[in-house]
Amino acid sequence: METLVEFLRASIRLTTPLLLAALGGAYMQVAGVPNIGMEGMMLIAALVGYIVSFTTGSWVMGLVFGVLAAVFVGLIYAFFVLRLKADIFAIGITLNILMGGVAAYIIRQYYDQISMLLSPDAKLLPAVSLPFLADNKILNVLFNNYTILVPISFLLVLVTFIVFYKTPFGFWLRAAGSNQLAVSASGKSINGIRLAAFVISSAFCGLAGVHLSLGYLGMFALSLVAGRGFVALAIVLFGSGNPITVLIASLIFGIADAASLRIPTEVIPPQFPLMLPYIITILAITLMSRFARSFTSTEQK
Amino acid sequence: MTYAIETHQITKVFGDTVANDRVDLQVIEGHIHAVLGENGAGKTTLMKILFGEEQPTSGKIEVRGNPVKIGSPAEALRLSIGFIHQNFTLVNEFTIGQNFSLGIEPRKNLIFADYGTVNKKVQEILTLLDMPLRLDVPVGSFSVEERQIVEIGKALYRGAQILILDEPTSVLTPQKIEKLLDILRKLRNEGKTIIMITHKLEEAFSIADEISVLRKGSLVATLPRSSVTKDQLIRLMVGDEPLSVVEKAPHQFGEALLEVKDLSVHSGGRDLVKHVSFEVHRGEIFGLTGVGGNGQGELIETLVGMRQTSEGDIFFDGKNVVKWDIRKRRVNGMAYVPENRVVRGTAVSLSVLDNLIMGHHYLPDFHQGFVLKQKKMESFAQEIIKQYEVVASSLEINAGSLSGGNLQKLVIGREFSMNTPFLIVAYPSQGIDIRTTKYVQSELIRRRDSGCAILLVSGDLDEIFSLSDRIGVMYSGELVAITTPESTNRFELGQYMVGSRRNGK
Amino acid sequence: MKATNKIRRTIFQQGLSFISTIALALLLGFAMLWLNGSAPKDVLAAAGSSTFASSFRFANMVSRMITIVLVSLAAAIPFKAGVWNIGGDGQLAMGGFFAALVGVYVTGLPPVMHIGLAVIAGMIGGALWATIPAYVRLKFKANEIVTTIMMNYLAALVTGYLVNYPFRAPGSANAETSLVQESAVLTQMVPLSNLSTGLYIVIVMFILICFLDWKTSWGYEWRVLGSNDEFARYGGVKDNRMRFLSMLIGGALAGLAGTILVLGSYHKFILNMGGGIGFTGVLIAIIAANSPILILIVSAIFAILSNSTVGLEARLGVATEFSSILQSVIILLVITRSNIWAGITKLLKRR
Repeated sequence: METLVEFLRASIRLTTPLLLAALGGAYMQVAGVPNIGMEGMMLIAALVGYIVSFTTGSWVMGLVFGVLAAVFVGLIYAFFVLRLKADIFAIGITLNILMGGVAAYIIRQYYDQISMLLSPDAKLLPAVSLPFLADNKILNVLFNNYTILVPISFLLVLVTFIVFYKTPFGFWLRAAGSNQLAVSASGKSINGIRLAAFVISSAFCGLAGVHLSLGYLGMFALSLVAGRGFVALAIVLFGSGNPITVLIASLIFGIADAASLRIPTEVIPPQFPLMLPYIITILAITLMSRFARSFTSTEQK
Repeated sequence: MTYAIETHQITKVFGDTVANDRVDLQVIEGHIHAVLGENGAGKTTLMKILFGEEQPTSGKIEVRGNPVKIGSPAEALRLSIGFIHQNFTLVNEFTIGQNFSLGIEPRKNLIFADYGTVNKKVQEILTLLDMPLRLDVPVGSFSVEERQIVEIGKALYRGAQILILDEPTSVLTPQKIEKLLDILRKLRNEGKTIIMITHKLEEAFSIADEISVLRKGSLVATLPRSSVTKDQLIRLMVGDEPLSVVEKAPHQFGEALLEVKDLSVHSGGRDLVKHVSFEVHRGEIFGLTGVGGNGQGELIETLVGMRQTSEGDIFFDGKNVVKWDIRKRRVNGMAYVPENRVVRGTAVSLSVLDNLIMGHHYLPDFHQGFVLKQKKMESFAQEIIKQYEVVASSLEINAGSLSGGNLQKLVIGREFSMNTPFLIVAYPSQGIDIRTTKYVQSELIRRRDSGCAILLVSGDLDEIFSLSDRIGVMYSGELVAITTPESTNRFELGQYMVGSRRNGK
Repeated sequence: MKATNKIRRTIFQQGLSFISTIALALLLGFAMLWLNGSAPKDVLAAAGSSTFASSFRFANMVSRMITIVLVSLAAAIPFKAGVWNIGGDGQLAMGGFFAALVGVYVTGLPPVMHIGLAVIAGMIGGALWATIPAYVRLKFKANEIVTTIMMNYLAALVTGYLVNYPFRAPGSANAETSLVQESAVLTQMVPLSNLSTGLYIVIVMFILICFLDWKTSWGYEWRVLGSNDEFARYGGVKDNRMRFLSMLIGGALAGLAGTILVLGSYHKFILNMGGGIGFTGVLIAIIAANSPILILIVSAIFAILSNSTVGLEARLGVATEFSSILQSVIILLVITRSNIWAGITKLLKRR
């Protein structure tokens, strides 16, 4: 029983970065502009957040600047796609590579490191401890003492749900992705709505990135994101941006991730369980595209 | 009696085409005004101008006596003009209220909107329209006719007093058309002004107070319905001149190369093509005409293989080809000049050469294994250019840099030079000059004389009349008439085209 | 038309705006470095020496270049037909592994046959890895960007397992296979460098691809598919089949890249030997608008750039990762230039 609860706890922790990124991706997805650049946004946020944290000694500053870094990338992305009308897939992929290069360059040029950054001065995100949960043994392990972004990520699911389905802004977002005619007939600017989506989405990716470096690990590595940005993309496509589906899919991946870490290497070589998320992604994308939504495929219109 | 809308000498020019030619439209307030005309008459352009989606090249507009400039749909709405598009501006996942209020939601506070108020107003409108629909379900679950009413309701919600509808019955099944017309009458009785574009005479006649007829960009007449007959309207729509005739040898046709039997196409809940049967013989030009959008496009697509049939058979040279793919049909003797040369007939970012060899490149003469015989293709391409007088400085330039007429000649040259026993030619003369048109037409006659079976699709009655050996008219997905030029005239063709007449041939 | 004429036309047509964009990006690079404290003439000197100072360095540059050319073509061929292939890394790895298997465990063959067999195995390996994304794209319209990227991670894991456990070189602490047999080795062209006789194989393959592109119905149909797929369908092109084929060929090319690395440069399969070059290939394919000749040119530039950073670092202290930044900037600029062209084409379509 103990190990099961521990396992679930690990799953929840590992779900968080995926969940945050995918939620952010959902904002852009429903607005009709799939976010291909999540991988790069997460990476740069992780790096900037980490650097600012150990430079200033404050996790708050780290969080803020990490998010800002991601939003900056998001604005560049928005400029190329909305203003210059460049292909969203191409620019997204380019930005991912660019961020990889920038991150590698920064740690090489300024810190003389090749692939990772480790500093004892980095202030990690604090854990949240709720006293009433601490009393119950099981609940304590399951729900208590996570670093702040973990409960926040679940909270954001609720927020996103409310925004999408209960607020005018959410309706504008969804209209932008569903029927552009409806938006132009309503007098609102499609590009304005989409720009907001870019900003929100990249901010979420910023949170995800910061969580990766400052949440538990306490370090930065170039391989930190490990394709999560694309798994998040698949999650978003899978549920067409519905926050509840995003939550469920992220949890599934989180559990798979946790499972892969737990299987003793004597029994199964470590590579196999690690394959699970990627295989699931391919299956999910395939199945989901059978009941296709027009944004999943890259076919010409 | 005031005019809700009055236009003075509205003219709209696109490049060389005059879409609207000094139109003086007068729409009486509180009346239903039908705008009749064939394809290309300029109806839609005129309405787009009234709704602010296009700007007139010259001319003035007055709304309720006040001169106005309508620069955008938003401005049109402010003037209480609402446009019901053929493609609905609804978001299928939203409820009626969410759709109506998109962008103008009344706010409870900074974040949330007051949908209670919205829904109250929605209910009022629905009651007015006598349309009991649920307010809590997404509009995507409604039928097409229900969504159309919602679209109308949306315009009303946003304050439209003048409603413009563009061919509203084209998406409806016959049973639902009457319901829509009833609603329009109701709205008129409530004081709204309604302008309806249509090419269907029956509808215009049954609902309108006044009818305007547009022909080739000009307003030919505006008459109260009570003082005009259907026949008069048809004459106004299609004109009175005798149809021109092109010199051609008397008709001697061979056996039927193409036989279409009971062909139907269903899509999206509608019947686009309904039980169409006809034949095209060797050495014959069969002219298929009708107002655009009555099923001709879908019919051609099933013939060449770009669309699945729902029912029926297509026999080509005795064989049932319904299951054949496009290449197989082409290799076995079909060629096709498409109605849209840019979207379908060419790839404008590729070279002239690349555009010319399409369809030829897998014919035995031009390849060895899968290697293309470059020189042979180039000389072939040069020949086509020479023969069909395509003005292109070289084979290497982008097809997109050719003028419209030359691009059309390129497509025609390519398809004709396949020397197939069967040709489908759709709207060959659109957007090209007289000289080229005459050339294309003489080419068609030449091929027909040498035994080719040709299916010509066109909305130009002169062209149909002068080239065809036999004529078919499509209306609402059905082939409502098969006749010959000798036994019909422009007026009668017009009757078929507007659904006013049909024969069982 | 003669090949030379074709080359001339390609270069001229794409050339001017293309060259000016690259020049602009390079200028930007110089500016960035200058801001960072390195004077342009020093940069040039450092860059020049790291490539041209010795035959060894030049050979390494060429070796890198041929890998880049292959992975760029691997992305470009499918891209021509309108399909994204981001799976170059995975296809390279699988191809290299297959080739390594043949190289290590097949004995008793004369070199020509052994190498030939290994090359074929490598190309099959790469093509195989492209099959799944190609299939689900065609059958289910599944987004191939996601699927090919997932296959990259899977390839790393699969080869990671294979090379750490069953196929690990006995006695070795690294994730690599045993050395391939002598008979499977592609000899070095310049002693101690990475450049092997694999160069000849790549040259032949490049000519083959050019041939495929310009002179066959396949190349033609891909071109049309990528330009206007409705026109292709209308003309009778079997679009699904051609798209699938293009992916297979792309995979095979990336597999060949891996094969040459194994047989020529390392003489064994080393985990992650590709180092992410697949993504660079995608970007180059985009910049070069899928044209083989332009890919050749851009690959040369990128290879020189990558090489230069070593010199830049040694002499001026600029981190080597700078090259990938510069590469990305080039992409962004070139992408938007081709967008202006797309805008013009759209205007023409309205006529």
